Amino acid sequence: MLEQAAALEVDQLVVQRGSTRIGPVTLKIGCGSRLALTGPTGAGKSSVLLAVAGLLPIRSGSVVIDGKSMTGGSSIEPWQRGISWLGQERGLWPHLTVEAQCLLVGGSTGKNRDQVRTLAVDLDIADLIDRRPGQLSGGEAQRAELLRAVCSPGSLLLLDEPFSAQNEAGRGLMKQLLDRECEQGKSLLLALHDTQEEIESVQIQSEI
Amino acid sequence: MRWWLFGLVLIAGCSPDGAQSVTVYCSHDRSHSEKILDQFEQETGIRVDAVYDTEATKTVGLAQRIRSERKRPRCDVHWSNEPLRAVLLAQEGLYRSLPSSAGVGIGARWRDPQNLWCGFAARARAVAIFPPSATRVDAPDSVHQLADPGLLGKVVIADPRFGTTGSHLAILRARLGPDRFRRLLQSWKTNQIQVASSNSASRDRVISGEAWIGLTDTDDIEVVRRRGVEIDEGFLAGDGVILLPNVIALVKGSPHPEEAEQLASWLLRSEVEEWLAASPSRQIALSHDAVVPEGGLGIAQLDPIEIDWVEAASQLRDAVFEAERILLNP
Amino acid sequence: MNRLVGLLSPLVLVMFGFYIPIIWVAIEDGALSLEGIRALPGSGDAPVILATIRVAGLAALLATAIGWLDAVLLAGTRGRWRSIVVILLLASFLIPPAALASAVQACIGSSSLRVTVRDELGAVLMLALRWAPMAAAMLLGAATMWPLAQERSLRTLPPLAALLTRARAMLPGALRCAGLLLLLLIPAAELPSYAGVETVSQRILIRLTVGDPAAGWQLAFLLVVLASPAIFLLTRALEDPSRSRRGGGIEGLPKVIWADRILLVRVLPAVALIMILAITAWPRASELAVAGDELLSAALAIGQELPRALLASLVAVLCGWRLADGGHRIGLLLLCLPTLLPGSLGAIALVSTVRPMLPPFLDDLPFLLTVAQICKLGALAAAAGFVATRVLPAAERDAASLIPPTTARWRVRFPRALPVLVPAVVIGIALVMGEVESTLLLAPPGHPSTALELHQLLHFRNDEQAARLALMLALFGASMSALIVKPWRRGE
Repeated sequence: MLEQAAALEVDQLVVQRGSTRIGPVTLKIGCGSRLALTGPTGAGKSSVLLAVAGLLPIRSGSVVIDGKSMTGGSSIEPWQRGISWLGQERGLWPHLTVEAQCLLVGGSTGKNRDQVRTLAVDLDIADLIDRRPGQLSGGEAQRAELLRAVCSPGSLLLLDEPFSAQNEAGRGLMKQLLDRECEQGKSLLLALHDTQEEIESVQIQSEI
Repeated sequence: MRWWLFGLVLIAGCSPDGAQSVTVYCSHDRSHSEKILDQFEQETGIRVDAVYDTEATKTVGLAQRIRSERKRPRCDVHWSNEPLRAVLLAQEGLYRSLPSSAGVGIGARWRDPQNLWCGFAARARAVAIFPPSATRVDAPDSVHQLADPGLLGKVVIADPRFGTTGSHLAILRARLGPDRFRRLLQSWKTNQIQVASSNSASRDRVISGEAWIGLTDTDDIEVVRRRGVEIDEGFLAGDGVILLPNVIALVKGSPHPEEAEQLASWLLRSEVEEWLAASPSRQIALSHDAVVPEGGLGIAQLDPIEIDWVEAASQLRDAVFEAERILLNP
Repeated sequence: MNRLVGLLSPLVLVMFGFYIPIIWVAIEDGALSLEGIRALPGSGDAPVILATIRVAGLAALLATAIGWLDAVLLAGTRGRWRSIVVILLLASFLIPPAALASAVQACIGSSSLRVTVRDELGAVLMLALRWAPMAAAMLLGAATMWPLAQERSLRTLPPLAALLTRARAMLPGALRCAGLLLLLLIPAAELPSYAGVETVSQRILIRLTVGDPAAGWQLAFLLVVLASPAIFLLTRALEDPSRSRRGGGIEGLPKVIWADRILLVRVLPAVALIMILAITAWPRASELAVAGDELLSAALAIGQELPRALLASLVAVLCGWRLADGGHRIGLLLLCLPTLLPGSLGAIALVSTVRPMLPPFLDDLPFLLTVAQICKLGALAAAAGFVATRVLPAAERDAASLIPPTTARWRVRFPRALPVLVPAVVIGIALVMGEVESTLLLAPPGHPSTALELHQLLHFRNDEQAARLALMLALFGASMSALIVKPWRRGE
């Protein structure tokens, strides 16, 4: 049997954030698969995601996305890594409507206007995509940000606590959408407080 | 990004039409000189593009602009309000000769031997005196009397490194010699002489009573007198009255040489001196045939001393630096 | 390579408009020759350098303290006329120093303070009063982009505790603001000269005009060498991305009566200044037609000058933002340094070196003047870029880093920087329109310059006409201020 192609391979990754050393972390995600990083608050889950995204410097180890090493001599910028991002803090840009943001990150290869609207219906924010982030509630803004992330052409979704502001219904909608994205070949790396039955997980540890 | 930045900078402005014109750099009072230049425009049809100077303490001034533009002059006519900086520019080879017919009524003592510049419409160095109605102050007869202990802390001069005060000191240094000049400055320093930013600021300190005697120019005094301010004036006649003329010169290699000559000749007419003599700046006409207006100052009445302008200009740098060292540095 | 282009492109103007000409002329004048270097500025210049640093430092601190208080009260309380207060304060900044000094002299008189104290104290007070609105503007601009959660929790505190907490939160920004003001005030020569204080700028000008240019250039270089490390350290925080978010409208802000009273007192000098100008400008019956003409021509001159001032300010601020956005600390340092030196220096260098190489038709355009003024706005532009970059929330910046850089820069980060950049552009316009040093040396003959005209009018005691011009400038300043007050008070 052929080994499944890896969307992300992280090997012995160590990240330093202030005086805290996180890792080493080793993990692998196949195309269309998902993996959760779990651990107590402050364990460094977000730091690992940031490091994979290229938003935090790596101390040692390697990150390979879609077969391309991200840790070689020439640095690969976050936007060149083929990733989508949903951070723990709200990162919607307040001067643009939700739809404009989705189209902006989508560019010419991402989702088009119709697809954006369809996905918005799936997340129950179809009526809100003409609004700016300041006019959304916390839960709506988080779903809008997920919408923006999936509209990006990146094949690896990095999601940091994506359900933190959701009630059960919202969480359900988001999970259904993420399932469909996985079926279409996208891969997920999530940072979660708690392990979830349906998602394989890796425990993150840190030391000071 | 850089190209559109350049493009944007480039389009900032508008180009004037191509009519006959002349450019004058003028450090005389704008409100008076502008009217005179307007008159020239009306009479000749030549457009005058003027750049007016401002107080010397704020910028390096138009003389420096002429110096900096030497590789491709833009100014045609330099109208300086004092002679020594013009003498220096002439020595640096920045001027060309005036037409021989320009300023024929003005005596040789007020012009360059090579006719590179010509003085006209002078002002006198003077002392502004605190109004006699407030206190009795005798008009000093000499700069040496400014060191009189009775005037301790009550004399003000403008910053000696700028404008006509610098020229005055250079003339004094030329006449007294370096040693006596330095002793004079030292005696002023001992007498706690005040230093204001400009001649007009000196005059204002006298008006407010902060100082009793202020070394300044006649035009600075006259302009406030005409506004009803009570203030006396004296001319330090014991040293000899010092007149500092306005100066007209033609800039070498300028873009409009013919128009420049026309303007220079026009400005050096006795009528222009008469207008300036009648204006609130109360200039002193130097032409033999100029008529002194009522209330104006005549050259015969003042009997000014003869000044070797080249010698005075050569003293300017040292006079300024010595004044800075003795009067200004703590 | 991209980083190098990012560094160089905003600096092209400063390189060709300042550094290359300055070095060229300094070499020509012998400042960099062996003999010149042996005759480096002597101890005679030390007191002037110290006085300059003392006056600029104290004025920067005092201006920041006043501006800090203004900003805390304006951002932390609500009440009637707040917008008017801000407009009046900013309008007073937009009036050129010559008019300000003239009005202050008219009000206070020069004999009311003792001579020895008056000189430096007067200079510090005049500089501080003039620049305090600038400090308030910068701190208010940054305050509008506070984290929403922080702002909301502040509003749940009792008014005094909230104001004190807000003041403490603004303190780091205020300290940086003082640093910037120090840079802007070191080259100040005009206001100190009204108080009889000599600054380094003035001494440099004296050296240049009285036949010792090498000494002038050396003094200028000494100033640059002394200031460079401080500027470089100021930009250190660029390496640490910030986080914040716009802080909401006025709902929940306390109404504090004593804050109203303080602001009323604070705004009195500006009102008094405008009143003095209005009274002086008021024509006698016989002068009505003349006064009308003068007001009209002042308005026309301002209108004519405005587009160029806007352009210069816009280009400078964009360059500053571009460098800060790219994290180019050296670039920011290079952008700041021209501000430190008197404008006449750069202007002389441009006239002597660049102008002869340009086609003659450019002589009729204020091209070099615009370049010189852009260079002179360097510190303001760098500071605006720095603040604009720092106030962008990290989460938004992270999200933007996943889209192509050009798109992220112009579609996301640039619009988000506008609340800081727009006030900076307005302040830049005021500085350009009040600038006289390079204007005198570089403006084409016949080019209107309200600031220069104001100087000339005041110098020759044409007080009424000067007051009319200053009044028009104040009105213009008030309208410009209204532009930046709206976003501050809207608080989306």
